[in-house]
Amino acid sequence: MLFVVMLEQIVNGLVLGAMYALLASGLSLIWGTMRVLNFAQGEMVMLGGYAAVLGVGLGLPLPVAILAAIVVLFFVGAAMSKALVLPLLNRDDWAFATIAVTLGMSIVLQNGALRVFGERFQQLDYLIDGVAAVGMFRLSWQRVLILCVSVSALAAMGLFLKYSRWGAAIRAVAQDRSAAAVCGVDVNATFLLTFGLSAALCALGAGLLGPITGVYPWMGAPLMIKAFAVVVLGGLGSFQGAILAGFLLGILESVGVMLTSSEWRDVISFVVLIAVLYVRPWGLFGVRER
Amino acid sequence: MLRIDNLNVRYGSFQVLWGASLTVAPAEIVALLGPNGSGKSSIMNAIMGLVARDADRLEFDGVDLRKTPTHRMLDLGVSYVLERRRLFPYMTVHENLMLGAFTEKNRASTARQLEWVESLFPKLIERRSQLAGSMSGGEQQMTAIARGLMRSPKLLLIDEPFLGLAPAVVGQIADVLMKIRDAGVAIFFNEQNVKLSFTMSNRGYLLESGRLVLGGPSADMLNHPHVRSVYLGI
Repeated sequence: MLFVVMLEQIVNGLVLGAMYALLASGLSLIWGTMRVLNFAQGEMVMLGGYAAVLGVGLGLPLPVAILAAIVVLFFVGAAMSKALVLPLLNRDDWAFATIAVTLGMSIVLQNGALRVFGERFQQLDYLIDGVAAVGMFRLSWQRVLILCVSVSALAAMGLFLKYSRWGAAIRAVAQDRSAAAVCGVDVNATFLLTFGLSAALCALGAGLLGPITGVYPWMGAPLMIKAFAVVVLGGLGSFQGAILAGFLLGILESVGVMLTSSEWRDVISFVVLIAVLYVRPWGLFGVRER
Repeated sequence: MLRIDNLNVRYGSFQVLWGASLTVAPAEIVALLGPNGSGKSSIMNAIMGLVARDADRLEFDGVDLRKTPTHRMLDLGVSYVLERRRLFPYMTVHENLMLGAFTEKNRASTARQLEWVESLFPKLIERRSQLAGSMSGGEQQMTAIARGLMRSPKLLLIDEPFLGLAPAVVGQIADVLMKIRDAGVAIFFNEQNVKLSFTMSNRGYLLESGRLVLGGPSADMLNHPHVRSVYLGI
């Protein structure tokens, strides 16, 4: 029995971890290419959730609504970076200015959503109903789906970065901005693409998680704090690191909560974070900066 | 081909380059000599638009480079090898080379250039799948020059091609640069070693404290009294 509970918790941890990974990998990608911490990343999840809710309201089938939300958020993310972040990058105080502006965006978006949509939770339907049962082991299909879809999306993103032309451009800009420009890579276009892709991953997360948590104005905030922890844990700027650390933290939290209680969830993650940073300041999968 | 009149570069209120005028013609090697901190890199970075600059004229094949963003330079035919190689350290040699042809739509042309640069630097063939950051300085410089040639440029700018290289490698690279010139690509590079630079180049300029003080055929430069007394100690 204990074994079954344990296994269920590990799978739940993987589901939670998938969410962290979707958010944190985008965060890490933006940091890696632009050296910008996007504090409004959680709000990309929230906007993605509302976009899907609106799509369903317009009569779109749920999977189509989620796909539409992903596309819309790609452009929202790109537009946000174009309007608010890019103009700051040539300033001497860009490092602080970008933090201030994305943090401000986060507050504006949360309160804007509160004003427009109200504080009531909006519900997204489950993409699949029912529960998968193998012996005593039970798991809702929605969770299975979350896991499969997010892992596939992250894998697709990884392949895009590794093998596509624009993926190579993103990696080149991350490693040496001037050298990339000299090679003919439009650095600003790469920044927009990075922001857009990160926001699209958030929207996917919202479409998957929305049915479980509901969609509400500050739904991104708690995820965001964890995503930061995950990014640092995995190593700032490392796409794979953020994914692995996301799953790792998800499992640790779920199993930890089973052994203690749910109030300990955040304590567990941050103790792990502090412990890792003490031993490896550059994160589990990061590279030491020279 | 490259024509610059009265080029100025300032970092804030601090001016590092004063009224530089120079030209580079097709298929010639032009050396820019000057002591450390004289503004050599600033000229290169200014041509490429990596630093803010003003000039009465800054054009390549009649195109105004002042209105050309850095990432469009390569399409015009101007390629740049930055100081200290600046490879993408976590990419393989092959990935680095392919990024040099990022804007090339014609795959056949890319394949042809790849074959050519690998024949110039045969060592790169065995290093293809090695991470660029893990190679020796000489191999990195070869990769950087090779990357700069992938988009079939007409002019190759190189900032300090021999910096920190072993003497044997310096000779090797100098030989290849002359081969590249003979293949029709003009080269404009800067360097501190007067003798080496003026031996392998067609023309040269001397930069001192941000001002071009001398210019002419390399053989004349090498025999100029100022160059001989100050830089060669003769």
